[in-house]
Amino acid sequence: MQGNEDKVYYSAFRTGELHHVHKSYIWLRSTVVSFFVILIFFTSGSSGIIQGISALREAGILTPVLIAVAIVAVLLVVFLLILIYHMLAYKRLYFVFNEQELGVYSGVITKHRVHVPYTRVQSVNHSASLVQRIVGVCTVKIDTAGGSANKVVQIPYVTLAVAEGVRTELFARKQIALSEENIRIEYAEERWTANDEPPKMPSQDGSAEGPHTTAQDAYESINDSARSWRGIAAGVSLKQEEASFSANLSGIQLLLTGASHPGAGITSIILGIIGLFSTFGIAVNVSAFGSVLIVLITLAFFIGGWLIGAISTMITYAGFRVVRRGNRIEVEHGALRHTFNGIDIARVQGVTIKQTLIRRLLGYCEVTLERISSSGSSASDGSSDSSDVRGIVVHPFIRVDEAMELIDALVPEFSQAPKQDELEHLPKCAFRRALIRRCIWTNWSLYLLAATLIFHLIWSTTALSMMNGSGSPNPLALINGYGAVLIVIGIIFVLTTVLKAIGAVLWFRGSGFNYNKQFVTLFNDGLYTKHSVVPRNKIQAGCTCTNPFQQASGVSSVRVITAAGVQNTTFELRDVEANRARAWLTWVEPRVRA
Amino acid sequence: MRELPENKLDPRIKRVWRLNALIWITLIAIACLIPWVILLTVGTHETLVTAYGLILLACYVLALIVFLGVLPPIRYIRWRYEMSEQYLDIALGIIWRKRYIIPFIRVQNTDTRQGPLMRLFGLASVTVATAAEEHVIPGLDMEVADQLRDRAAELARIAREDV
Repeated sequence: MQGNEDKVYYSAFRTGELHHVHKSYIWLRSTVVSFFVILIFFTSGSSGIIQGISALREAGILTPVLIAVAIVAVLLVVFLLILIYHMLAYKRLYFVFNEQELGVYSGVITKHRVHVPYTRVQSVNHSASLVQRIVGVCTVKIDTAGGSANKVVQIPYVTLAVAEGVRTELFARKQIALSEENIRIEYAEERWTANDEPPKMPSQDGSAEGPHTTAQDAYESINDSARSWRGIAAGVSLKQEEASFSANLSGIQLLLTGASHPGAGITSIILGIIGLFSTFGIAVNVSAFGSVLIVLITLAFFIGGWLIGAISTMITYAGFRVVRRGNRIEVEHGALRHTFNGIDIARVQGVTIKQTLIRRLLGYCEVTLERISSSGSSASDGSSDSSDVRGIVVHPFIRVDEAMELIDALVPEFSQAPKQDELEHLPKCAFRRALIRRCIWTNWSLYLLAATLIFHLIWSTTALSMMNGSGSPNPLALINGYGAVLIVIGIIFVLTTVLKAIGAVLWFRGSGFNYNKQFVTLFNDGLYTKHSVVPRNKIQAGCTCTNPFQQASGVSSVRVITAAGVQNTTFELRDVEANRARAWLTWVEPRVRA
Repeated sequence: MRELPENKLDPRIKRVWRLNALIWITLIAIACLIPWVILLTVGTHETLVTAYGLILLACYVLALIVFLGVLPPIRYIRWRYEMSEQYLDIALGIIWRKRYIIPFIRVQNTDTRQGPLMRLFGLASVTVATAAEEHVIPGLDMEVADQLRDRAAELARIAREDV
């Protein structure tokens, strides 16, 4: 009974049939594109336009009514042109499930054809911008096994049901292509719910085909409808596996993620400095009140920058959910732009745990899976996910001990790696070297102070010579001004150097590395920490690097070269004892059974 | 202790390095000469002109000494490689001494490349590419390069994931 008949897989797509994307591609994308075109057009040409209009007005040719009509006419013409273009593009845009590969055809002027062999499909992700989410469509992004060499293949503006269908179909056909057995693929209408609509789900305003209110509900409902597609008799069940583990962010965690995100700090610092210097013009001739004002304004910029960063982070990670399903880890998040990323466990190049200063103080960290990224944002809906470029964040804000549990549950393959308490630490000379390196050689504030001092000296000598000549009071005021700058830069120098020294102490005390049969773990402690685990079979090359000072002190830097990221990523630990570095290099050499 | 890998590059690569350095340094010196010529034709600032000219000459001579006389032999001595059954071992670098181990199971392509200068001396370079980055062994005799590349390709093909 089993061996006699061919197995059949009931597919949701007919082989060889052309599938167009959703009609919203025409009107929605035209609207969005027109909006941006008009925005750019008006902001860049606004001064010219205004001048032209006022000149014509003075000449009596144009009345205000005519101007308004003309503007509206121009807007309409632009929109119509873009609409026509998209109508043409829509006809030319389709995807086909061929025998051996998926074909995506597009292009109005030049025809693009991309073929993705089923066996090369690695991940099928999707993301949706805010307007897309309202309508219920998304853009599907297919990662292939080429990694960075291949661009991501995109299918824009498909409904969520179709996206999920494409994902299931691609992985099913991949499994069929890879299997030895002879499995027939037949089309079954019943695989679809009616009319390609997004799955019906209870939404807040009560309408049946409402937009997805939360990522979680949508996810659950897609999951449910996916599961409900089973049950056709005598079919091979290539079902979606049950999730073996899942985790998400609570509201408070989301809040704290935003509050402690490094982007927030950097934005606020930059804005704070801008605020400081923008008020500095007032500062030079000033009284006590003025200096208070400066401080307040700077503080306002600082806090404003922090708020912007925090809110944008929170928006990015709203609805965060990570799931382990069979061999795949799937992550989705995003309130405005919703993204869904999946990765096969075999494609994970390493696991990285990072802590920024604030998170370190709170005892929390961020866990990322390193992966090979494709260079993929030049296709039609080119909005790349900057948050997921190098690796997939599997949890942006988790307690450090819970992080270990997360790794054990989500990627148990990595639980055998040497843990933090098993690391071998650095020799004593590493501390001296780190202190010198951080506080002198790479201390930008030191160079800034030196440059300012030199400049101040030059300026004051020339100003003094000018004063002896003309006796005007201006140069003196400038000297005082530079004195104030000098004090500020001096304070910055002291603060930065103290921070760097503290960082050096923390780095020396905590950093280390270790390796066992399957993994190498590197830990760089400090104000910011980074803990990297790389499996042995993902090490593309091992490297030790020694400069003359290191040689004199008997230490080396250890570098683990992986394929993660767009080009490659090197994990480095400086100033490891030279013998250990050599021993590690010997460990990198493959051992073969005799 | 880890000894240095045993194979050295072809000695003729020193000539390639020297010739390359000579060409580039001379080109840069000529480019820097242009402002000097301009100043000269303008006719003022005599001291500045002579000072600039002298400094330029001194830098040129110094660069020639360093890049033609000092560096090539040292670089040649430092550059070592060794191909074992399972991995490629490369040691290079004068100030920053680097040591690479590249397991053959990770090797994706192997190429040989030859620029015009290298062709002049009958040399070629072998490139071993992994998913992460390329590693180059410059300056081998053409036949040696071909043999090395073939052996590397063979070892990469038969390499098995280790224990």
